[in-house]
Amino acid sequence: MSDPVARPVFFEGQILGALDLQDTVEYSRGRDARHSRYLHTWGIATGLELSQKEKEVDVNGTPVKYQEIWLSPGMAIDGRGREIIVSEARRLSEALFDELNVAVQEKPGEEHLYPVLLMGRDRSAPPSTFTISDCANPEPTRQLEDYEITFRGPGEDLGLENQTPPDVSAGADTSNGQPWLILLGYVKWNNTITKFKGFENKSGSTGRRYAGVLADEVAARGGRLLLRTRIKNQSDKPALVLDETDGGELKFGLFNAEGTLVPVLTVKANGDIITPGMVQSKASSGTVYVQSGIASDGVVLPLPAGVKPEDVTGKGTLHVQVSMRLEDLAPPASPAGDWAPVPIECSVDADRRVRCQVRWVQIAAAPNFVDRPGVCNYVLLVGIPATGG
Amino acid sequence: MTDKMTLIVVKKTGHVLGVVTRESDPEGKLEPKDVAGEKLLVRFAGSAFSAAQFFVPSDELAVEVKDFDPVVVTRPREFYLNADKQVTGTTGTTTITPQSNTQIRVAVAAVAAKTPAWIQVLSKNDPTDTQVRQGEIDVGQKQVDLDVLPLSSGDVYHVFALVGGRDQIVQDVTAP
Repeated sequence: MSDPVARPVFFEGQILGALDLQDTVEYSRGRDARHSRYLHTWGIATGLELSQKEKEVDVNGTPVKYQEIWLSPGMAIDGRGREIIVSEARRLSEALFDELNVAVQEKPGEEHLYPVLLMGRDRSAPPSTFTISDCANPEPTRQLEDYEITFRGPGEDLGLENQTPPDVSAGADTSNGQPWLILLGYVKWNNTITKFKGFENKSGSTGRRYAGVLADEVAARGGRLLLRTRIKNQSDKPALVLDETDGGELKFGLFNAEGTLVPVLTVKANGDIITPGMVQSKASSGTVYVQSGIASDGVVLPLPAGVKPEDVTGKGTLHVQVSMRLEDLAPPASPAGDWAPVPIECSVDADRRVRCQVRWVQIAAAPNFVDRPGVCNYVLLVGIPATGG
Repeated sequence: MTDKMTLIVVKKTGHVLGVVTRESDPEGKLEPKDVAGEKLLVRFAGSAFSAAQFFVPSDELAVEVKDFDPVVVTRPREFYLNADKQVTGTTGTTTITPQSNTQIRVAVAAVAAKTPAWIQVLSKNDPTDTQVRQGEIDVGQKQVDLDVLPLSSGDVYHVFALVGGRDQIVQDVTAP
Protein backbone atom coordinates (compact mmCIF):
# COMPACT_ATOMS: atom_id res chain seq x y z
CA MET A 1 0.00 0.00 0.00
CA SER A 2 1.44 3.37 -0.96
CA ASP A 3 1.66 6.35 1.38
CA PRO A 4 -0.59 9.37 0.91
CA VAL A 5 0.97 12.28 -0.90
CA ALA A 6 2.31 14.80 1.61
CA ARG A 7 2.36 18.51 0.75
CA PRO A 8 4.76 20.62 2.83
CA VAL A 9 3.20 23.50 4.81
CA PHE A 10 5.00 26.06 6.91
CA PHE A 11 4.27 28.30 9.86
CA GLU A 12 5.74 31.53 11.14
CA GLY A 13 8.87 30.99 13.16
CA GLN A 14 9.41 27.47 11.88
CA ILE A 15 12.99 26.45 11.62
CA LEU A 16 13.44 25.04 8.13
CA GLY A 17 15.68 22.09 7.61
CA ALA A 18 17.07 20.77 4.33
CA LEU A 19 14.37 18.07 4.33
CA ASP A 20 11.59 20.67 4.37
CA LEU A 21 13.01 22.34 1.29
CA GLN A 22 13.66 18.98 -0.30
CA ASP A 23 10.03 17.92 0.26
CA THR A 24 8.86 21.11 -1.43
CA VAL A 25 10.83 20.21 -4.52
CA GLU A 26 9.79 16.54 -4.39
CA TYR A 27 6.12 17.43 -4.11
CA SER A 28 6.25 19.24 -7.46
CA ARG A 29 8.34 16.52 -9.05
CA GLY A 30 5.92 13.85 -7.94
CA ARG A 31 2.92 15.78 -9.21
CA ASP A 32 4.58 16.23 -12.64
CA ALA A 33 5.48 12.54 -12.76
CA ARG A 34 1.92 11.45 -11.95
CA HIS A 35 0.57 13.76 -14.62
CA SER A 36 2.96 12.28 -17.22
CA ARG A 37 2.23 8.76 -16.03
CA TYR A 38 -1.54 8.85 -15.98
CA LEU A 39 -2.41 11.41 -18.64
CA HIS A 40 0.22 10.32 -21.14
CA THR A 41 1.69 7.09 -22.37
CA TRP A 42 5.43 6.67 -22.12
CA GLY A 43 7.87 6.90 -24.99
CA ILE A 44 9.84 9.32 -27.11
CA ALA A 45 8.43 12.86 -27.05
CA THR A 46 10.75 14.45 -29.60
CA GLY A 47 14.04 13.76 -31.37
CA LEU A 48 16.21 10.89 -30.12
CA GLU A 49 16.70 9.63 -33.64
CA LEU A 50 19.53 7.39 -34.70
CA SER A 51 21.69 8.32 -37.67
CA GLN A 52 24.93 7.03 -39.10
CA LYS A 53 28.16 8.33 -40.56
CA GLU A 54 30.26 6.11 -42.75
CA LYS A 55 33.85 5.63 -41.56
CA GLU A 56 36.75 3.41 -42.44
CA VAL A 57 39.20 1.46 -40.32
CA ASP A 58 42.42 -0.18 -41.40
CA VAL A 59 42.48 -3.93 -40.76
CA ASN A 60 45.83 -5.53 -41.61
CA GLY A 61 46.35 -3.03 -44.40
CA THR A 62 42.84 -3.40 -45.79
CA PRO A 63 40.33 -0.58 -45.36
CA VAL A 64 37.05 -1.82 -43.85
CA LYS A 65 33.97 0.38 -43.74
CA TYR A 66 31.86 0.78 -40.62
CA GLN A 67 29.24 3.20 -39.34
CA GLU A 68 29.39 5.59 -36.45
CA ILE A 69 25.92 5.65 -34.92
CA TRP A 70 24.71 8.93 -33.45
CA LEU A 71 21.77 9.78 -31.26
CA SER A 72 20.16 13.17 -31.84
CA PRO A 73 19.08 15.43 -28.96
CA GLY A 74 15.55 14.94 -27.73
CA MET A 75 13.27 14.07 -24.89
CA ALA A 76 11.38 11.03 -23.69
CA ILE A 77 9.01 10.31 -20.84
CA ASP A 78 9.48 6.97 -19.13
CA GLY A 79 6.82 4.81 -17.54
CA ARG A 80 7.44 6.39 -14.15
CA GLY A 81 6.68 9.82 -15.54
CA ARG A 82 10.28 10.90 -15.53
CA GLU A 83 11.54 13.23 -18.23
CA ILE A 84 14.74 12.05 -19.89
CA ILE A 85 16.51 14.77 -21.78
CA VAL A 86 19.42 14.22 -24.15
CA SER A 87 20.68 17.75 -24.58
CA GLU A 88 23.22 17.20 -27.31
CA ALA A 89 23.99 14.67 -30.04
CA ARG A 90 25.86 11.68 -28.73
CA ARG A 91 27.78 8.95 -30.45
CA LEU A 92 26.90 5.40 -29.41
CA SER A 93 29.83 3.73 -27.77
CA GLU A 94 31.31 0.68 -29.47
CA ALA A 95 33.43 0.08 -26.35
CA LEU A 96 30.29 -0.12 -24.19
CA PHE A 97 28.60 -2.47 -26.67
CA ASP A 98 31.65 -4.72 -26.65
CA GLU A 99 31.93 -4.57 -22.87
CA LEU A 100 28.26 -5.56 -22.39
CA ASN A 101 29.00 -8.77 -24.32
CA VAL A 102 25.56 -8.88 -25.99
CA ALA A 103 26.80 -9.84 -29.46
CA VAL A 104 25.89 -13.33 -30.63
CA GLN A 105 27.55 -15.45 -33.27
CA GLU A 106 26.12 -14.77 -36.74
CA LYS A 107 25.83 -17.48 -39.37
CA PRO A 108 26.58 -16.53 -42.98
CA GLY A 109 23.73 -14.37 -44.31
CA GLU A 110 22.45 -13.61 -40.82
CA GLU A 111 22.33 -10.09 -39.42
CA HIS A 112 21.18 -9.58 -35.86
CA LEU A 113 19.58 -6.44 -34.54
CA TYR A 114 20.61 -5.28 -31.07
CA PRO A 115 18.19 -3.01 -29.17
CA VAL A 116 19.49 0.43 -28.21
CA LEU A 117 17.88 1.56 -24.97
CA LEU A 118 17.67 4.83 -23.09
CA MET A 119 17.14 5.16 -19.34
CA GLY A 120 17.05 8.05 -16.92
CA ARG A 121 19.76 8.11 -14.28
CA ASP A 122 20.28 10.67 -11.53
CA ARG A 123 23.80 11.74 -10.84
CA SER A 124 25.12 14.06 -8.15
CA ALA A 125 26.64 17.32 -9.28
CA PRO A 126 30.06 18.24 -7.85
CA PRO A 127 29.81 19.46 -4.24
CA SER A 128 29.42 23.14 -3.58
CA THR A 129 32.67 24.85 -2.66
CA PHE A 130 30.87 27.32 -0.42
CA THR A 131 29.89 26.29 3.12
CA ILE A 132 28.88 28.26 6.18
CA SER A 133 31.79 26.96 8.15
CA ASP A 134 35.08 25.45 7.32
CA CYS A 135 34.19 22.44 9.45
CA ALA A 136 31.12 21.39 7.40
CA ASN A 137 31.60 18.72 4.79
CA PRO A 138 30.85 20.09 1.32
CA GLU A 139 27.93 18.20 -0.23
CA PRO A 140 26.31 18.38 -3.64
CA THR A 141 23.52 20.91 -3.92
CA ARG A 142 22.25 19.75 -7.30
CA GLN A 143 21.10 16.42 -8.66
CA LEU A 144 21.68 16.03 -12.40
CA GLU A 145 18.81 14.33 -14.22
CA ASP A 146 21.09 12.48 -16.56
CA TYR A 147 20.63 9.46 -18.77
CA GLU A 148 22.39 6.30 -19.90
CA ILE A 149 22.36 4.42 -23.17
CA THR A 150 22.69 0.67 -23.10
CA PHE A 151 22.36 -2.31 -25.43
CA ARG A 152 20.70 -5.68 -25.20
CA GLY A 153 20.91 -8.96 -27.09
CA PRO A 154 18.69 -9.74 -30.09
CA GLY A 155 15.05 -10.17 -29.03
CA GLU A 156 15.61 -8.77 -25.55
CA ASP A 157 13.41 -5.77 -26.38
CA LEU A 158 10.21 -7.82 -26.33
CA GLY A 159 9.50 -7.36 -22.61
CA LEU A 160 9.68 -3.57 -22.66
CA GLU A 161 5.89 -3.21 -22.79
CA ASN A 162 5.60 -5.15 -19.55
CA GLN A 163 7.81 -3.03 -17.29
CA THR A 164 6.31 -2.55 -13.84
CA PRO A 165 4.89 0.91 -13.13
CA PRO A 166 5.34 2.44 -9.67
CA ASP A 167 2.61 2.81 -7.04
CA VAL A 168 -0.01 5.39 -7.84
CA SER A 169 1.27 7.99 -5.38
CA ALA A 170 4.95 7.47 -6.14
CA GLY A 171 7.12 10.05 -7.80
CA ALA A 172 9.48 9.61 -10.72
CA ASP A 173 12.43 8.15 -8.85
CA THR A 174 13.54 4.62 -9.50
CA SER A 175 13.09 3.36 -5.99
CA ASN A 176 13.61 -0.30 -6.75
CA GLY A 177 16.81 0.29 -8.68
CA GLN A 178 15.36 -1.05 -11.90
CA PRO A 179 15.68 1.53 -14.68
CA TRP A 180 12.78 2.08 -17.07
CA LEU A 181 14.01 1.31 -20.58
CA ILE A 182 12.94 3.14 -23.73
CA LEU A 183 13.71 1.63 -27.12
CA LEU A 184 15.48 4.01 -29.51
CA GLY A 185 16.20 1.58 -32.35
CA TYR A 186 18.55 -1.23 -33.22
CA VAL A 187 22.20 -1.45 -34.20
CA LYS A 188 23.97 -4.01 -36.34
CA TRP A 189 27.37 -5.16 -35.16
CA ASN A 190 30.56 -6.25 -36.89
CA ASN A 191 32.18 -8.60 -34.43
CA THR A 192 35.42 -8.77 -36.39
CA ILE A 193 36.30 -5.11 -36.16
CA THR A 194 34.07 -4.42 -33.11
CA LYS A 195 32.28 -1.55 -34.86
CA PHE A 196 28.70 -0.86 -35.81
CA LYS A 197 27.53 -1.81 -39.29
CA GLY A 198 24.37 0.30 -39.30
CA PHE A 199 21.05 0.75 -37.56
CA GLU A 200 17.32 0.10 -37.99
CA ASN A 201 14.32 1.77 -36.40
CA LYS A 202 12.23 -1.41 -36.45
CA SER A 203 12.72 -5.12 -35.98
CA GLY A 204 9.71 -6.91 -37.39
CA SER A 205 6.68 -5.24 -35.87
CA THR A 206 8.63 -3.85 -32.89
CA GLY A 207 10.15 -0.41 -33.03
CA ARG A 208 10.54 2.99 -31.45
CA ARG A 209 7.72 3.86 -29.10
CA TYR A 210 6.44 7.42 -28.97
CA ALA A 211 4.75 9.13 -26.05
CA GLY A 212 0.99 9.52 -26.34
CA VAL A 213 -2.04 10.93 -24.64
CA LEU A 214 -4.56 9.21 -22.40
CA ALA A 215 -7.89 10.92 -22.73
CA ASP A 216 -11.52 9.98 -22.77
CA GLU A 217 -12.49 13.35 -24.13
CA VAL A 218 -10.65 15.56 -26.60
CA ALA A 219 -12.17 18.95 -27.32
CA ALA A 220 -11.31 21.72 -29.75
CA ARG A 221 -11.73 25.41 -29.01
CA GLY A 222 -12.06 26.72 -32.57
CA GLY A 223 -14.72 24.37 -33.93
CA ARG A 224 -12.25 22.14 -35.78
CA LEU A 225 -10.49 19.03 -34.50
CA LEU A 226 -7.61 17.59 -36.51
CA LEU A 227 -6.00 14.19 -36.10
CA ARG A 228 -2.95 13.52 -38.24
CA THR A 229 -0.11 11.01 -38.43
CA ARG A 230 2.79 13.49 -38.48
CA ILE A 231 3.85 16.46 -36.35
CA LYS A 232 3.14 18.86 -39.22
CA ASN A 233 0.72 18.76 -42.14
CA GLN A 234 2.77 16.68 -44.55
CA SER A 235 2.04 15.98 -48.19
CA ASP A 236 0.48 12.56 -48.91
CA LYS A 237 -0.01 11.80 -45.22
CA PRO A 238 -3.50 11.02 -43.90
CA ALA A 239 -5.57 13.04 -41.48
CA LEU A 240 -9.02 13.10 -39.98
CA VAL A 241 -10.92 16.34 -39.44
CA LEU A 242 -14.06 16.93 -37.44
CA ASP A 243 -15.38 20.43 -37.99
CA GLU A 244 -18.53 22.49 -37.92
CA THR A 245 -18.78 23.26 -41.65
CA ASP A 246 -22.36 22.97 -42.96
CA GLY A 247 -23.63 22.02 -39.55
CA GLY A 248 -20.86 19.51 -38.93
CA GLU A 249 -18.84 17.04 -40.99
CA LEU A 250 -16.19 14.38 -40.66
CA LYS A 251 -13.50 14.24 -43.34
CA PHE A 252 -10.76 11.72 -43.99
CA GLY A 253 -8.14 12.29 -46.65
CA LEU A 254 -4.54 13.08 -47.51
CA PHE A 255 -2.74 16.38 -47.33
CA ASN A 256 -1.68 17.86 -50.65
CA ALA A 257 1.58 19.73 -51.27
CA GLU A 258 0.02 22.96 -49.97
CA GLY A 259 -0.86 21.28 -46.69
CA THR A 260 -4.58 21.25 -47.43
CA LEU A 261 -6.58 18.15 -46.65
CA VAL A 262 -8.07 16.58 -49.77
CA PRO A 263 -10.94 14.46 -48.46
CA VAL A 264 -11.61 11.01 -49.88
CA LEU A 265 -14.44 10.40 -47.45
CA THR A 266 -16.84 12.98 -46.06
CA VAL A 267 -19.69 12.30 -43.69
CA LYS A 268 -22.17 15.19 -43.57
CA ALA A 269 -24.35 16.11 -40.62
CA ASN A 270 -27.46 15.17 -42.62
CA GLY A 271 -26.12 11.61 -43.01
CA ASP A 272 -24.80 11.90 -46.55
CA ILE A 273 -21.59 9.97 -47.20
CA ILE A 274 -19.50 11.28 -50.06
CA THR A 275 -16.56 9.40 -51.51
CA PRO A 276 -14.95 9.29 -54.95
CA GLY A 277 -13.89 5.72 -54.14
CA MET A 278 -15.86 2.55 -53.75
CA VAL A 279 -17.83 1.55 -50.68
CA GLN A 280 -17.45 -2.12 -49.81
CA SER A 281 -19.31 -3.72 -47.01
CA LYS A 282 -20.34 -7.08 -45.71
CA ALA A 283 -23.31 -8.46 -47.59
CA SER A 284 -26.41 -7.09 -45.94
CA SER A 285 -29.57 -9.06 -45.26
CA GLY A 286 -32.57 -8.83 -47.55
CA THR A 287 -30.44 -7.90 -50.54
CA VAL A 288 -29.81 -9.45 -53.93
CA TYR A 289 -26.31 -8.98 -55.35
CA VAL A 290 -25.70 -9.38 -59.06
CA GLN A 291 -22.64 -10.08 -61.13
CA SER A 292 -22.53 -10.82 -64.84
CA GLY A 293 -20.04 -11.04 -67.66
CA ILE A 294 -18.07 -13.57 -69.64
CA ALA A 295 -16.10 -16.55 -68.33
CA SER A 296 -14.00 -19.20 -69.99
CA ASP A 297 -13.97 -22.93 -69.38
CA GLY A 298 -12.47 -23.94 -66.03
CA VAL A 299 -12.88 -20.55 -64.32
CA VAL A 300 -14.70 -20.17 -61.01
CA LEU A 301 -17.35 -17.48 -61.42
CA PRO A 302 -16.46 -14.42 -59.33
CA LEU A 303 -18.94 -13.36 -56.67
CA PRO A 304 -20.42 -9.86 -56.67
CA ALA A 305 -18.46 -7.22 -54.78
CA GLY A 306 -19.16 -7.42 -51.06
CA VAL A 307 -20.23 -11.07 -51.12
CA LYS A 308 -17.92 -13.59 -49.54
CA PRO A 309 -17.91 -17.35 -50.24
CA GLU A 310 -19.20 -17.96 -46.71
CA ASP A 311 -22.24 -15.80 -47.51
CA VAL A 312 -23.14 -18.22 -50.30
CA THR A 313 -22.44 -21.40 -48.37
CA GLY A 314 -24.35 -20.02 -45.39
CA LYS A 315 -27.79 -18.50 -45.66
CA GLY A 316 -27.37 -17.05 -49.13
CA THR A 317 -28.94 -18.45 -52.27
CA LEU A 318 -26.98 -18.63 -55.49
CA HIS A 319 -28.68 -18.35 -58.88
CA VAL A 320 -26.56 -18.83 -62.00
CA GLN A 321 -27.48 -18.63 -65.66
CA VAL A 322 -24.90 -19.46 -68.31
CA SER A 323 -25.16 -19.61 -72.06
CA MET A 324 -22.58 -20.45 -74.68
CA ARG A 325 -21.02 -17.32 -76.15
CA LEU A 326 -20.90 -17.71 -79.90
CA GLU A 327 -19.74 -14.23 -80.83
CA ASP A 328 -16.23 -13.95 -82.18
CA LEU A 329 -15.71 -17.72 -82.28
CA ALA A 330 -12.91 -18.76 -84.59
CA PRO A 331 -12.94 -22.19 -86.24
CA PRO A 332 -9.90 -24.48 -86.17
CA ALA A 333 -7.18 -23.27 -88.50
CA SER A 334 -6.57 -26.68 -89.95
CA PRO A 335 -7.64 -28.62 -91.82
CA ALA A 336 -9.06 -25.90 -94.01
CA GLY A 337 -12.74 -26.02 -94.73
CA ASP A 338 -16.09 -25.00 -93.41
CA TRP A 339 -16.73 -25.65 -89.74
CA ALA A 340 -19.86 -25.35 -87.66
CA PRO A 341 -19.81 -24.88 -83.87
CA VAL A 342 -22.01 -27.09 -81.73
CA PRO A 343 -22.29 -26.45 -78.00
CA ILE A 344 -21.76 -29.73 -76.18
CA GLU A 345 -21.38 -28.52 -72.62
CA CYS A 346 -22.26 -25.29 -70.87
CA SER A 347 -22.85 -25.52 -67.14
CA VAL A 348 -21.59 -24.50 -63.71
CA ASP A 349 -20.72 -27.05 -61.06
CA ALA A 350 -21.24 -26.84 -57.30
CA ASP A 351 -17.98 -24.93 -56.94
CA ARG A 352 -19.21 -22.26 -59.40
CA ARG A 353 -16.69 -23.61 -61.90
CA VAL A 354 -17.63 -23.13 -65.54
CA ARG A 355 -17.64 -26.18 -67.76
CA CYS A 356 -18.04 -25.03 -71.30
CA GLN A 357 -16.94 -26.69 -74.50
CA VAL A 358 -17.75 -26.36 -78.13
CA ARG A 359 -17.45 -29.01 -80.81
CA TRP A 360 -16.36 -27.84 -84.21
CA VAL A 361 -17.77 -30.13 -86.89
CA GLN A 362 -16.32 -29.98 -90.37
CA ILE A 363 -19.05 -29.69 -92.98
CA ALA A 364 -18.92 -31.71 -96.16
CA ALA A 365 -16.18 -33.95 -94.95
CA ALA A 366 -15.82 -37.37 -93.52
CA PRO A 367 -16.89 -37.30 -89.85
CA ASN A 368 -14.38 -34.92 -88.41
CA PHE A 369 -14.62 -32.77 -85.36
CA VAL A 370 -12.47 -30.87 -82.92
CA ASP A 371 -13.48 -30.02 -79.37
CA ARG A 372 -12.36 -26.72 -77.91
CA PRO A 373 -12.78 -25.04 -74.54
CA GLY A 374 -15.60 -22.54 -74.82
CA VAL A 375 -16.60 -19.24 -73.35
CA CYS A 376 -19.96 -18.46 -71.77
CA ASN A 377 -22.02 -15.44 -70.83
CA TYR A 378 -23.10 -15.63 -67.21
CA VAL A 379 -25.46 -13.97 -64.80
CA LEU A 380 -24.97 -14.71 -61.12
CA LEU A 381 -27.33 -13.60 -58.38
CA VAL A 382 -26.75 -14.02 -54.67
CA GLY A 383 -29.76 -13.55 -52.44
CA ILE A 384 -29.06 -12.84 -48.77
CA PRO A 385 -32.30 -13.48 -46.85
CA ALA A 386 -33.61 -10.81 -44.51
CA THR A 387 -32.82 -11.45 -40.87
CA GLY A 388 -35.57 -13.59 -39.41
CA GLY A 389 -37.16 -13.91 -42.83
CA MET B 1 -20.76 -3.85 -71.37
CA THR B 2 -17.51 -3.58 -69.47
CA ASP B 3 -14.37 -2.54 -71.31
CA LYS B 4 -12.14 -4.56 -69.00
CA MET B 5 -11.28 -8.23 -68.77
CA THR B 6 -9.51 -10.15 -66.05
CA LEU B 7 -6.92 -12.63 -67.25
CA ILE B 8 -5.79 -15.62 -65.21
CA VAL B 9 -2.14 -16.16 -66.02
CA VAL B 10 0.68 -18.45 -65.00
CA LYS B 11 3.06 -16.32 -62.92
CA LYS B 12 6.17 -17.95 -64.30
CA THR B 13 5.51 -17.53 -68.03
CA GLY B 14 2.55 -15.14 -68.34
CA HIS B 15 0.46 -17.62 -70.34
CA VAL B 16 -3.27 -16.94 -70.13
CA LEU B 17 -5.23 -19.94 -68.89
CA GLY B 18 -8.62 -18.33 -68.41
CA VAL B 19 -10.57 -15.12 -68.67
CA VAL B 20 -13.49 -13.55 -66.89
CA THR B 21 -15.23 -10.21 -67.19
CA ARG B 22 -17.37 -8.51 -64.59
CA GLU B 23 -20.02 -5.93 -65.34
CA SER B 24 -20.07 -4.92 -61.70
CA ASP B 25 -16.74 -3.62 -60.37
CA PRO B 26 -14.82 -4.75 -63.49
CA GLU B 27 -11.47 -3.55 -62.18
CA GLY B 28 -11.94 -4.58 -58.55
CA LYS B 29 -9.12 -6.53 -57.00
CA LEU B 30 -9.37 -10.29 -57.37
CA GLU B 31 -7.09 -12.95 -56.00
CA PRO B 32 -6.33 -16.05 -58.08
CA LYS B 33 -8.39 -18.13 -55.64
CA ASP B 34 -11.46 -15.96 -56.38
CA VAL B 35 -11.55 -17.18 -59.98
CA ALA B 36 -9.60 -20.43 -59.83
CA GLY B 37 -10.57 -21.91 -56.50
CA GLU B 38 -7.71 -23.86 -54.96
CA LYS B 39 -6.81 -25.05 -58.45
CA LEU B 40 -7.77 -23.87 -61.92
CA LEU B 41 -9.25 -26.46 -64.23
CA VAL B 42 -7.49 -26.43 -67.60
CA ARG B 43 -8.92 -28.83 -70.13
CA PHE B 44 -6.84 -29.20 -73.18
CA ALA B 45 -8.42 -28.95 -76.59
CA GLY B 46 -8.34 -31.79 -79.05
CA SER B 47 -10.53 -34.38 -80.60
CA ALA B 48 -10.41 -36.25 -77.33
CA PHE B 49 -11.55 -33.45 -75.10
CA SER B 50 -11.03 -33.95 -71.39
CA ALA B 51 -8.58 -36.74 -72.04
CA ALA B 52 -6.07 -34.50 -70.32
CA GLN B 53 -7.38 -32.12 -67.76
CA PHE B 54 -5.03 -30.32 -65.44
CA PHE B 55 -5.64 -28.59 -62.15
CA VAL B 56 -3.12 -25.76 -61.88
CA PRO B 57 -2.55 -24.71 -58.23
CA SER B 58 -3.71 -21.16 -57.60
CA ASP B 59 -0.37 -20.21 -56.08
CA GLU B 60 1.11 -20.69 -59.54
CA LEU B 61 -1.34 -18.10 -60.89
CA ALA B 62 -1.82 -14.35 -60.99
CA VAL B 63 -4.70 -12.20 -62.20
CA GLU B 64 -4.31 -9.14 -64.41
CA VAL B 65 -6.97 -6.68 -65.52
CA LYS B 66 -6.61 -5.57 -69.14
CA ASP B 67 -8.66 -3.70 -71.72
CA PHE B 68 -11.36 -5.87 -73.20
CA ASP B 69 -10.38 -7.65 -76.40
CA PRO B 70 -13.00 -9.93 -77.97
CA VAL B 71 -10.38 -12.14 -79.55
CA VAL B 72 -8.56 -12.71 -76.27
CA VAL B 73 -11.85 -13.38 -74.50
CA THR B 74 -12.84 -15.97 -77.07
CA ARG B 75 -9.48 -17.71 -77.33
CA PRO B 76 -7.59 -16.81 -74.14
CA ARG B 77 -5.14 -19.68 -74.29
CA GLU B 78 -3.59 -18.35 -77.46
CA PHE B 79 -2.14 -15.38 -75.59
CA TYR B 80 0.41 -14.51 -72.92
CA LEU B 81 1.59 -11.42 -71.10
CA ASN B 82 5.02 -10.35 -72.28
CA ALA B 83 7.69 -8.76 -70.09
CA ASP B 84 5.86 -5.42 -70.38
CA LYS B 85 2.59 -7.10 -69.35
CA GLN B 86 1.15 -6.54 -72.83
CA VAL B 87 -1.28 -9.16 -74.11
CA THR B 88 0.52 -10.86 -76.98
CA GLY B 89 -0.27 -13.86 -79.17
CA THR B 90 1.79 -16.99 -78.59
CA THR B 91 3.78 -18.45 -81.43
CA GLY B 92 6.22 -21.29 -81.92
CA THR B 93 6.17 -24.88 -80.86
CA THR B 94 7.56 -26.71 -77.89
CA THR B 95 8.65 -30.30 -77.72
CA ILE B 96 8.80 -32.43 -74.63
CA THR B 97 11.12 -35.39 -74.27
CA PRO B 98 11.76 -37.43 -71.15
CA GLN B 99 15.50 -37.83 -70.58
CA SER B 100 15.10 -40.24 -67.73
CA ASN B 101 12.43 -41.03 -65.19
CA THR B 102 13.62 -38.00 -63.20
CA GLN B 103 14.21 -35.48 -65.94
CA ILE B 104 12.10 -33.97 -68.73
CA ARG B 105 13.56 -31.91 -71.53
CA VAL B 106 11.61 -28.90 -72.79
CA ALA B 107 12.88 -27.66 -76.15
CA VAL B 108 12.11 -24.77 -78.48
CA ALA B 109 14.01 -22.89 -81.20
CA ALA B 110 17.10 -21.15 -79.79
CA VAL B 111 16.11 -18.24 -77.54
CA ALA B 112 17.51 -14.71 -77.69
CA ALA B 113 16.79 -13.96 -74.04
CA LYS B 114 16.51 -16.03 -70.91
CA THR B 115 13.10 -17.69 -71.28
CA PRO B 116 10.96 -19.20 -68.53
CA ALA B 117 9.70 -22.75 -68.82
CA TRP B 118 6.96 -24.33 -66.73
CA ILE B 119 5.52 -27.83 -66.82
CA GLN B 120 2.85 -29.77 -65.03
CA VAL B 121 3.20 -33.53 -65.16
CA LEU B 122 0.11 -35.66 -64.64
CA SER B 123 -0.05 -39.43 -64.50
CA LYS B 124 -2.53 -40.86 -66.97
CA ASN B 125 -3.22 -43.69 -64.52
CA ASP B 126 -3.45 -41.67 -61.33
CA PRO B 127 -4.92 -38.14 -61.58
CA THR B 128 -3.64 -37.37 -58.08
CA ASP B 129 -0.06 -37.99 -59.19
CA THR B 130 0.83 -34.52 -60.41
CA GLN B 131 3.78 -32.19 -60.08
CA VAL B 132 4.74 -28.70 -61.25
CA ARG B 133 8.31 -27.86 -62.22
CA GLN B 134 9.90 -24.77 -63.69
CA GLY B 135 13.18 -23.46 -64.97
CA GLU B 136 14.78 -21.21 -67.59
CA ILE B 137 16.21 -21.70 -71.02
CA ASP B 138 19.46 -19.76 -71.15
CA VAL B 139 20.32 -17.25 -73.87
CA GLY B 140 21.30 -19.00 -77.10
CA GLN B 141 20.08 -22.37 -75.81
CA LYS B 142 17.23 -24.45 -77.19
CA GLN B 143 16.29 -26.46 -74.17
CA VAL B 144 16.20 -26.95 -70.46
CA ASP B 145 16.15 -30.23 -68.56
CA LEU B 146 13.74 -30.04 -65.64
CA ASP B 147 14.17 -32.37 -62.70
CA VAL B 148 10.98 -34.18 -61.72
CA LEU B 149 10.04 -36.54 -58.96
CA PRO B 150 10.60 -40.12 -60.14
CA LEU B 151 8.13 -41.23 -62.79
CA SER B 152 7.04 -44.87 -62.94
CA SER B 153 8.89 -46.49 -65.79
CA GLY B 154 6.58 -47.50 -68.62
CA ASP B 155 3.71 -45.33 -67.42
CA VAL B 156 2.18 -42.66 -69.62
CA TYR B 157 2.15 -39.08 -68.37
CA HIS B 158 0.43 -36.00 -69.74
CA VAL B 159 2.85 -33.07 -69.74
CA PHE B 160 1.42 -29.57 -69.96
CA ALA B 161 4.27 -27.29 -71.02
CA LEU B 162 4.53 -23.52 -71.18
CA VAL B 163 7.58 -21.74 -72.50
CA GLY B 164 7.65 -17.94 -72.54
CA GLY B 165 5.91 -16.67 -75.70
CA ARG B 166 5.40 -20.15 -77.20
CA ASP B 167 2.09 -21.93 -77.82
CA GLN B 168 0.68 -23.93 -74.96
CA ILE B 169 1.12 -27.64 -75.47
CA VAL B 170 0.10 -30.94 -73.94
CA GLN B 171 2.08 -33.97 -74.90
CA ASP B 172 1.91 -37.55 -73.71
CA VAL B 173 5.23 -39.13 -72.77
CA THR B 174 6.13 -42.59 -71.61
CA ALA B 175 8.51 -42.66 -68.67
CA PRO B 176 11.80 -44.41 -69.58
